[in-house]
Order: sequence, then structure tokens, then C-alpha cells
Amino acid sequence: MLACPDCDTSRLVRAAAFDERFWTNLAALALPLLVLAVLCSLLNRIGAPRTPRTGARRRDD
Amino acid sequence: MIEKPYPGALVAAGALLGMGLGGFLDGIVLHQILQWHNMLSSVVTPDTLVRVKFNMLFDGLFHAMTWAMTAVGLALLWRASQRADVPWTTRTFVGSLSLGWGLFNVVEGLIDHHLLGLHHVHPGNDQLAWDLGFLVLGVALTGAGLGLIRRASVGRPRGA
Repeated sequence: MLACPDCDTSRLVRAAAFDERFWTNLAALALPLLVLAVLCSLLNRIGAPRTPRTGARRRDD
Repeated sequence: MIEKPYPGALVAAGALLGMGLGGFLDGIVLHQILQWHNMLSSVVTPDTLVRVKFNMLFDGLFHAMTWAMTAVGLALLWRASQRADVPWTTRTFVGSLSLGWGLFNVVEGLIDHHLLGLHHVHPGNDQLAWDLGFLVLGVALTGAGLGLIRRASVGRPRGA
């Protein structure tokens, strides 16, 4: 069996990947990245100005 | 009036870029070149062409998500560059990149390898050793990154 865009192999892969477990698998893959995104949002708060939009750019306006 | 420095803008951008670049390095070296660490290889063992392609598809979806993280990191970096209160130091930026890469390894390793058991770095008899090595590298990069950021804590705000 050869790898190809639309042949038996590809159809089998698509059938296996896009079955009822697809979203569960995708959620499992996304979980660590969601945790990392939350960590980045916490890092973004280090030394953040108390009031939003009080950065120097606005002060210069 | 001297403004309070806001390092978080640069740290968050650098960390996101580090996570994305760490994810790309992982994908290129471990997944593609060495053919290890496929995302769902403990769920569907990649031992036939169909199963390899199945894993390849989910590898691609994962790396598409890391690409999105990289793009957001780039946007945050651009936004940080527009602010005058960000301490723009090489140590902070390099430290943030290292922190991001380290956090990527630690979080991905703990969740995917140990908690969910989706895959291992190098499946086989020594898989635990490889997984722990992956975590140790992550902790080392995280520590190095935090150290650099801390040493740069007295930075020079742009325009000061």
C-alpha cells in the first residue's frame, strides 16, 4: 500500500483520525498548551501597571 | 517622574516564543528526524503506515497549535516594543525564551507522559528514563531562564 492523498491508506487514516474520539484526542493534545497559555497570562502580570491602559504611550499622548 | 518598570510584557512575549520554538525543535528533531515522541503513540502504536500517518496527523495538529502560540508571542513582543516602561534587556528576553522552552517541556512532559499517558519521548524499556530526562531538561531551562530574568531585574526602560 502506498501513501497518497486519496487512496486506501489515506482513507483508513482519515476514518481512524476523524472518528468519535477525534475531539477527545484533540482536547488531550490542547490541554498542556492551555496550561502554558494560563502561565503566560500570569507572567504578563509581572510588574503590570495597576490601572489598565496607563502605559507610557498614553502618557505621552 | 520615573515609571515603574513593566517586565511582564517582555517576559510573557519571550516565554510564548520560547514555548513555540521549543515545540518546533521538539517536532523537528524528536518527531520527524528521530521518529520518536509521536503525540498519540501510546494510544495508536505507529507500527504500520496507516498508524504512522494517524500519529503524523495529530503531530501536525499539535504543532499547528504551537505555531499559534508563536504567533501570539510575536504579537505580544511587538506590543511590548511599543511601550516605554518595558525594561528591554537581552538577559530578560533570552531568559524568557529559556523559561518558555523549559515550561513547555515540564508541562507537556507531566501532562502527556505521566498524567494522560498519551505518549513517551522514546517508547520502550527505558521510556521512564527518557521521560525523566525530558523533565530534567525542562527544569534546567526553566531555572536558567528565571535566573537570567532575575539578574536583569534592574533593567533600563526604553527611553530612560
